[in-house]
Amino acid sequence: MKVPWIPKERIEHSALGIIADYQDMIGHTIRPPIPVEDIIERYLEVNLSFEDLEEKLGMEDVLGATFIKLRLICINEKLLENKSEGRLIFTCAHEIGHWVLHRQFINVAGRSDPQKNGIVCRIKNSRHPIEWQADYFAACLLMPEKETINAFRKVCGTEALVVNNVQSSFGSTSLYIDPCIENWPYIAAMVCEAGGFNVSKQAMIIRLMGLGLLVNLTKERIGWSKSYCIAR
Amino acid sequence: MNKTFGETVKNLRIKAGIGLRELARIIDKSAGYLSDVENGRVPPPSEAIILEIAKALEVDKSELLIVARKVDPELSEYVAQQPQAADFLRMAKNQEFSDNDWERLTQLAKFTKLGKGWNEEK
Repeated sequence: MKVPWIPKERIEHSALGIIADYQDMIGHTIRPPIPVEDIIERYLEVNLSFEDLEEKLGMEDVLGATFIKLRLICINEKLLENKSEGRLIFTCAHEIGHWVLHRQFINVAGRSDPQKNGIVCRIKNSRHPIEWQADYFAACLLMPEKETINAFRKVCGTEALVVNNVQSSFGSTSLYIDPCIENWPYIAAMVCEAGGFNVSKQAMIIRLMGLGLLVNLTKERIGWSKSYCIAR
Repeated sequence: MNKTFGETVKNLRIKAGIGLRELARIIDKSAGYLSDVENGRVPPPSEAIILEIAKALEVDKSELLIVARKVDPELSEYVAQQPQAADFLRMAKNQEFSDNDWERLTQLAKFTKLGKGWNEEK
């Protein structure tokens, strides 16, 4: 499904707007971890369901789906099994992103084709603009800029971490002296801990790079497929 | 239209501000199973689990048991231990007691103070 380009600032503004409105509803401010399931059910008044979506939809690698007319967000129940709460929470936030940013477009598409009255989110489609926008929304919702910068500063100081090497010259614990590709899972984990973020290390590192707090000057691409990262 | 058991649990859970995964943890069931229950993909759970759900949500167990068309285990046990109670219920069934009949019977029991517990009730 094609959607118009939305500037990052507007996506961030939408995510912060959801947090502000949710806070108004519950009557107090919140800090991470952001209660995405409660936002879905009580603030958006959308049904939340955990289902075997791969079997239901006959597709592989499905993470979640949002059905507009049914006011329903479905999360693949397999995400409950693999103990990756960060990924589950991110998928919930991603589907909120579709609900907030895209439901009008999905509704329009659904008028001509009932099959399109929803959006199914698959790993293989993550680079599509509609999926990228929902991912960025999720990152802004779960890791608001202000809180993320504060948490980063607690762990790493006020300067951005510049990664010059793939492997540490001093050993794996020298995060501040010699931040390197090999160490970034530690950096992400420490920022998550400092800010109380309930997200995966991968999501945090992407957010840190997006905010310019982590700068990778090596030719090596940061990715979880590396064996040394998976091992951690 | 009457709400199903799943809809009732979902409404009460959201009203109580308890997440689906949180309630599943409290009653020691998987979130996938509880989601199936709430959405009517599986039948209501056993009486024991319904009582746990009622306790977690701090709601009257009767409300959930009735909508699930289940009998409170305490009542089942009482009937099992009181053959006359079973006989009476069987008679009521055979005579096709109406809602009005049950109401009149309740009033009669109250009026004649059958049993010992009336002074304790408000």
